[in-house]
Amino acid sequence: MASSILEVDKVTKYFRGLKAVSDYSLTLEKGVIAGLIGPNGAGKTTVFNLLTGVFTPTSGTIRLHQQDIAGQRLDQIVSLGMARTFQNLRLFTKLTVLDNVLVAAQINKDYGFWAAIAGLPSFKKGEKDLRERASALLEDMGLLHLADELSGNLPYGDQRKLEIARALATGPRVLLLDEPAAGMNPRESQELTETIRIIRDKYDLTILLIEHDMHVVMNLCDNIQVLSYGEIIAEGKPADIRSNQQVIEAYLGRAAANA
Amino acid sequence: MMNLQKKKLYTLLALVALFVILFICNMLLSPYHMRIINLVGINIALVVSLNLTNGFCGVFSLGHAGFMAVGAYVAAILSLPLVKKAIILPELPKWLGSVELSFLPSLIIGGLVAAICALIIGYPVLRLRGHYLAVATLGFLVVIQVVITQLQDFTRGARGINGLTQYTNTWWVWIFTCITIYVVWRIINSAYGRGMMAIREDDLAAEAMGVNLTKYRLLAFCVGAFFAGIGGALWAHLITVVTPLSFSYDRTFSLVVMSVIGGMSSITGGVVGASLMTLVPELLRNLEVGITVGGISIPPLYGISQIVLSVVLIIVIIVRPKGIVGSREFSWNLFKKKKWNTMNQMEN
Repeated sequence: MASSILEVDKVTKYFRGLKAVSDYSLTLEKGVIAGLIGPNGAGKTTVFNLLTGVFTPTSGTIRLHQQDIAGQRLDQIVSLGMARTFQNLRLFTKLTVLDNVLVAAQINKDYGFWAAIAGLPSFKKGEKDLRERASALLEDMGLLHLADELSGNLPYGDQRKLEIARALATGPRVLLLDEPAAGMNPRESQELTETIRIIRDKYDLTILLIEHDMHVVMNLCDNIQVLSYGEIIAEGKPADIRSNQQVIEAYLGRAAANA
Repeated sequence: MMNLQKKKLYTLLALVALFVILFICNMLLSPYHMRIINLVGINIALVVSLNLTNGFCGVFSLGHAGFMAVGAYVAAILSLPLVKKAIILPELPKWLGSVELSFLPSLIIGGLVAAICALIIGYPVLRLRGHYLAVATLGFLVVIQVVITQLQDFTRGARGINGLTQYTNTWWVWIFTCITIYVVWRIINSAYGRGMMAIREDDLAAEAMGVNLTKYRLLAFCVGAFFAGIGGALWAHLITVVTPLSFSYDRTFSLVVMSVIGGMSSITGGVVGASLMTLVPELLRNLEVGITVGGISIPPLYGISQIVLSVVLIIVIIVRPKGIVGSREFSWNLFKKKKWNTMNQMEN
């Protein structure tokens, strides 16, 4: 289909003999928010690592904008328009909040090394543009007042938001969020749900998210895939997933499902 | 916050003051003291450039002395007067044997050749991390020494090249020092420096944010090597002799110690570390000879300088494991707010 932005076809990943993900397929239409859920160790983060280039798939194809990206480096894939956040926060903790976003924003910098060394006008203008863009993103995520703090000193919830701001700064078309609501209280995750919708609309994004908080997933996602032992066991609308027998078994065990 | 214009003015004034002081020193002080002042300048440049690689980018290289050696030998061969060259290095190929460049081009070519070496060895080596990288760069140092010792036609092997013209003077040294500091300051306050620091903090995350690891690491490594090459060349033309032993482990480690003592991820740290670790041993050396103060004579204490220095090192590392300055950076705001600024808050 012409409007699908990300097409994953039968991606499989072995770690030596261990099959981590098998025959994972996904088609993301533009503007969709899709969810990837499953028990711990099901391979959800491995899927993200395969999509973003941390791992190279053993077999299968990944197409972003009709372009095969399997086996490309992380930074190449980011520059093609797919960015991610990390489950276990990977901020640059000794850099300021603003610098964290700047690092990501500079993927689109428009000055070169010699201009930077000579302090040419193109460098100064480029830096100013980057700072403005980064500040705007921080404002969107409600972090602008913390711009000069070291990111490692931020409260947990703000660090999660900063991860999103940083990923957005790379100017993605597809955004992968790895447990964005982890560690948040119900009120915070409610706010986050709103924020994710807002940024989807504002930045014209397509989003795939991994999440354990079922409120967030059921509220936010248009489609959900359920992964268990590296395989997709169910796929569909939130309502279908909620009542799917196999999903309940995977999460709670067979006995509980039959009870 | 002070405005930018004012800061620029202060910086300019400080520079003028520095060179006026140097000018006065040059007139009044003995050659021995001037030599120490020049060594301070060279060491500052070397440590600041080492800090870019090791401190800001987290590429822990022990190869700095190797790049110094490359720069020193290249510049020495290029700048050696033709008459001496015919006697000392008769086996040189014709195109080299008949060249005598003036000092500036020799320096720059020395730096460039060092940077090219960094590019060649950096590409495979920079895939390594932490200890492995340190060991690999140490290996480079060994290779360079062996190559220099064996390439008799170019280097006279273990005998070294002597009789270099003493081109290096206070001005060459301190202008080079200022340029090094300026360039490193520019880099760390640009996208390139931020990318390097991001790599140091978390290389996977940096790559996932679009930072090309290889490119940025190579950049830090090569810029460091370039300045190390020029520093080595200046050093050679100050001492007027280069031998393979001039740039051995000792030198690499003393540079790393200066960097660690001052503060690895800070330009200010590099300046402080290099100055202290060059000056203090010289001062302590006076103690070794034995002095008489107010009728009390202290007998010669041979080796005391090294012992004192080692103890000081241990104390500094225990009390301030991140170096005297840490990762903070000098700023003119210091005088206004009485408070250190982290370097990230520095304005461009």
